[in-house]
Amino acid sequence: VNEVATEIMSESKETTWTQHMSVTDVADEIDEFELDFTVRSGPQVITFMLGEEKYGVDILRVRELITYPVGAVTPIPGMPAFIVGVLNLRGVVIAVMDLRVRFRLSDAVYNRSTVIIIVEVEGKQVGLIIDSVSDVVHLEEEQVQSVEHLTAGIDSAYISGVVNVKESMVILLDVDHLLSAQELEALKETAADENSS
Amino acid sequence: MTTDNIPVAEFVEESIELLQQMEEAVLELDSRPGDRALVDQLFRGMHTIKGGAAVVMRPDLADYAHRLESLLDQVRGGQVSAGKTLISTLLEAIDCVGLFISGIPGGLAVDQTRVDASIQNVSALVESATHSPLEVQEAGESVSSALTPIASKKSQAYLVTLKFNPQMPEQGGDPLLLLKELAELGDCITVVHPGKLPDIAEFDASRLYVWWSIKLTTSLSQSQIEQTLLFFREGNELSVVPFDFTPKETDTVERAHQAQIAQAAAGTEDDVRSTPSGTSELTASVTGFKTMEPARIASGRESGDGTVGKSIRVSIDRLERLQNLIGETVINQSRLIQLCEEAERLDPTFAGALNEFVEENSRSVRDLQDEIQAVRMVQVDTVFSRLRRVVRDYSVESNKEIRLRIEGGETELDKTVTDQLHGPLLHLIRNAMDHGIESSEERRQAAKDTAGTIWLRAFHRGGHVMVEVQDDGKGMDVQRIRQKGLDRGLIEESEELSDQQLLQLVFRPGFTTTDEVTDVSGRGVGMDSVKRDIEALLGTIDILSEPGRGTTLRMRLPLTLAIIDGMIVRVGSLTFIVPLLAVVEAIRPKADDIQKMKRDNELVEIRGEFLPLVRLHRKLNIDCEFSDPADAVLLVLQHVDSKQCLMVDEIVDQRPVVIKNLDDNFVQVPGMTGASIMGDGKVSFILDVAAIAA
Repeated sequence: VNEVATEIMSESKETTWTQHMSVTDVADEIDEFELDFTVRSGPQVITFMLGEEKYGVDILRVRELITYPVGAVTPIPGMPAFIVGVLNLRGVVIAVMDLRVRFRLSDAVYNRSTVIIIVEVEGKQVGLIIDSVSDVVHLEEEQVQSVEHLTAGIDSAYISGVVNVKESMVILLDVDHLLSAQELEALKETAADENSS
Repeated sequence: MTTDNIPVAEFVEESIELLQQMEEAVLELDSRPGDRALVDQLFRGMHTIKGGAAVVMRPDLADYAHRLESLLDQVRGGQVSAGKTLISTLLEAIDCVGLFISGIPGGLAVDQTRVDASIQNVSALVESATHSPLEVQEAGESVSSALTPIASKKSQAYLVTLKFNPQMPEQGGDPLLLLKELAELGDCITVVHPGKLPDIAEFDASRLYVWWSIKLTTSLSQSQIEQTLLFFREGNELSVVPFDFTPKETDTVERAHQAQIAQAAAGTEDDVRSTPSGTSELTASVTGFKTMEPARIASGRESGDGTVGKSIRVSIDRLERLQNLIGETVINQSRLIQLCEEAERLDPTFAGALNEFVEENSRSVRDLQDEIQAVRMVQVDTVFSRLRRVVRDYSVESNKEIRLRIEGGETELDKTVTDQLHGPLLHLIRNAMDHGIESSEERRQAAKDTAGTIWLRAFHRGGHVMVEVQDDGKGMDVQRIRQKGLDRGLIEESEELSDQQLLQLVFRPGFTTTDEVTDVSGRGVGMDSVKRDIEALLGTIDILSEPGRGTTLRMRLPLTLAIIDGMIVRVGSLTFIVPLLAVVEAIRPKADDIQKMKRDNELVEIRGEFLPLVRLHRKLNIDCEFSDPADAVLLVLQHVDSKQCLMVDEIVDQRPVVIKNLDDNFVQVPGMTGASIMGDGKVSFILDVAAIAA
């Protein structure tokens, strides 16, 4: 009986929690290692890998990180390939976008170690698929450089700047632009064209 | 008092609600003049607004409300009779108060000319009353009016002290009447003294705790002032003495008051609010104090004996979050049931115990779901009663006599549905008044009651709520509709249409039977917009008309917008939800029922009727299991007046689903009206029937 109970418990735990770890947990973990108590004025950024490059998103835009729920993402007919589909996050329907597909950075592989960052822009929550989360870093405003001559994998329109963190370059993603009402409307139009053709 | 602490939003919200109830009461009063309970309700409402206005620092509104309160008081006392003039004055007044209220959040000024006009009307009514029955009042009038001419002679200051019996308000007395009267005698500087204010818990709303001292500068003699007080003298401690602000050892209390008054007069109004020439501002702040605080205590006290229901105000957003959470619990519950089944295989004894618990939990979750749904339900009367005013106003302006009869107002609908029902209903009522009901003259000739009637009706029928707008007017002229349909190119000359089919034409875009544009209806947007609104509410609308007898618009509405009955279908590995409302039937076609047309168009023959075939997998560009219609299932869908056959792999289930809006977090996906979370926790899309038909 115990065996069964344990088995069921472990599985139901899995379904209940959907293995989401909160952003603060990640931040806490990292803080513990660095033991850095200096007061910072600049923004905090979550950094992650997309293909070979390291990207960052303002932590204030990030709601949470979840693992890719394999088999539970429903594709949206008519949407471009980088819109992977929609998933149910605790009763809320959330669309998921694969940045790797959108900017042709790496292969679209979806398994239990794939991470989705749930970001919130203008009250809308959207999931972004990334390769792996790296770090949470503090930035000083003056560290951020403009991107005029940068040749990153991503269209520079979606980049708000670059910054050097511990000898490696982090490209700051402009999620406000990436998920602006205009950008989303454009998706809708492509879908409408698709459906009518 | 700092502005941060002032409950402006609460005041505005509460007042809007109050005004709506008051408007209903006034309209009731129109049909039941002299109903004391209604007048009392109005009086209480106005009193609350007056008090609140003072609290939110709007003395102008408080003053206005005070005038209305006085008028209502006289209606209550019978000095003003409830006639048409009174009703119109009150309705306009309620609108004016509404103007004040709606301007408060944005700090907007009110249309003063309109308010002034209203004040004039109110004053006229009050005036007409004061000249009639009560002798004492007449006496008071004559005193002041007789003495006004000599007002300029020489002025002297008096200290008037008013200490009323605490039971005075309970016995129906209003100290403010005296304060106002005194204000008319000369320049008043008034100080209100908190007196023996009890602890808040013991505060009795009907008792008077405060007292006043007034420096009255007037040309009247002391005895003349005392004469004014005469009416109030009994049971109250009132005194008039010459104002003499010189320190007196013996009379410290008096001196303190005089000092306070002097301070007020000197213009330091920080803690003593005073107005040199009137008492309006003061009375406002005092009544505000009197009404706002006690109201809270009263509710606490009354709930003790269970006569008054308790309620709290909750934002709809919070309810929606709660509903989301419950929806999630429902999904978890179905997952638990699946796990139970798995446990059954591993250990039947353990599974039995688990099953029992899971079933019990199921019931609680279902109850929880029903309860939260019930919380969102509101009576349609909230929309219906708002339309009474429209009918009354039209009736007065147009000289058509029209009655509005409301039936089944207690029928409940989801708040979102009721909120969005107002527009369509308003349109239909206006149509009925403008085009349906004939003029009194025409009605007389037709041997009908000269007064037209419009019924606004709601009732339950088979899991839906029916809402009807019926008039006993002239009905629709089917031949005129046909002609119009031909003119607009909506139908062909050769088409033979039944009367019912012709009536349906009015729902077509751009169809209006009246060419001239009136203020009331006929703005070009007609029944098609009503139909669209009703369809947006996942409802349907139908029209019935009998020449000479009238027209009925019948709407069928879902109980709630949050849940629809869905048919769950599968195409390939995906499941979709088709609104059951649109499904006429489901069939398995024979191979020779399908006919290929040019350009890949296919038709299905069903009992002699040819319907276009829509292969869902092709439409959405997804995989399917069966590409031969003979293996698949066809759903006959009806949208507006066209039918289609939708081809899917199989029908999985049929049950209510909770609708999630896609554009809450993303965009409205073309071809889908929304999504829903299924029992396995996955998301399925709800198909847009209109897009399939397109």
